[in-house]
Amino acid sequence: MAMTDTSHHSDISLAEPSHYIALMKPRVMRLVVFTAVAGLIAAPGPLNPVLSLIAIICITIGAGASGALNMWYDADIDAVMSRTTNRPVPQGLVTSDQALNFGLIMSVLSVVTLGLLVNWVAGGLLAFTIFFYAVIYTMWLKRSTPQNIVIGGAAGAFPPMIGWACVTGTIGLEGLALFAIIFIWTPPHFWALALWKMRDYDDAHVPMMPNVAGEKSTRNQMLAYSTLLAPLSVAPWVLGFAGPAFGVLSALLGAAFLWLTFKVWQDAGRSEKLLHEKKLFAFSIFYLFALFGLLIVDAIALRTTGSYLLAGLVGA
Amino acid sequence: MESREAELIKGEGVTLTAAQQRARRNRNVAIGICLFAMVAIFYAATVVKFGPRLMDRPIISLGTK
Repeated sequence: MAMTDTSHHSDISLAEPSHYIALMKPRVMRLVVFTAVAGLIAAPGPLNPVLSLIAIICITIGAGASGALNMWYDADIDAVMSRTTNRPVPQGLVTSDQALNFGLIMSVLSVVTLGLLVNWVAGGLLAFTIFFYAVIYTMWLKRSTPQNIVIGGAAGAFPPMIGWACVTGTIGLEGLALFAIIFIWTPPHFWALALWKMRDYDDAHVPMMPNVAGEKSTRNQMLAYSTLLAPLSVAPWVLGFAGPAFGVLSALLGAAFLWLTFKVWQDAGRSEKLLHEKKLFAFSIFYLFALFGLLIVDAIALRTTGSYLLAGLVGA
Repeated sequence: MESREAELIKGEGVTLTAAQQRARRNRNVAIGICLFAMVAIFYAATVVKFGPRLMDRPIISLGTK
């Protein structure tokens, strides 16, 4: 064995804890926490504060783990896209092996903890979510089909369903409705962004709908999804796990979403700055936070006062 | 102790730079915090799940069941 220089070993890791946190996609985790809390609190059944907190932590860590697995697998394309080039793996701060190990360990720990301490329906759903995002989306569909956003949206749609399962131990029509809202919301939300980003950078290493099927087809599909989303927005009220105040406001939110998408479709990119697309994108984020925020507020009202907001007005 | 450890490491032909040492220390602290959090989570959940029921039974069973 050759004697090595005693001073410099550049293969020794310089990774800091903050780099590992970055692997978990903290911004995505915030949305996961928010929607999972909504599913958890809106579900009928007793909520133990300690177990609820543990459930939310597990779902969040599980989502973060799938983010780490995504960054392990996608390091090659992350390195060439400006939005992702400063992620820890392409920067060389964390090796891809470390990202893989971290993702796997966090996946196992979060799923096992949720299963053991809460219930195995929720644990199983979390495991499936991680598998779905890391394997079906990242490894398989992301690079091979322009429907990638549609499929990837499913991974983002699971958290409220897991939250619901934590309390009820079942999936149920209600859990599916919460899933469907985010699932159907994702394509118009993301394609609104893709439509204007596509012009800024012609940087498509990944097949995106506007680049593959064209802008016209993308706008048609966005309109179709928004048309589905409008009635779905009201589903929590129809299915009885939100009150009339939610019903009215969610109908308005859904209608506004549809109207803004209609403007995008009608204008068809004629306005050079793509203001309609930008407006829709901004509103879509507001829509999701408002809808799930309302669900949380209404659920808290039910749990503290015994009835949903404004339920007395309609004599329900 | 510390200097002996340092010598041992030197004997292997490896000296960590200040940045490498700091990164390793921060990682160790983070792992420690995570392990502690794991223990706290399982401890708290055990108390929540079993605590009240443990208090709910007679301390000495008199066989009256």
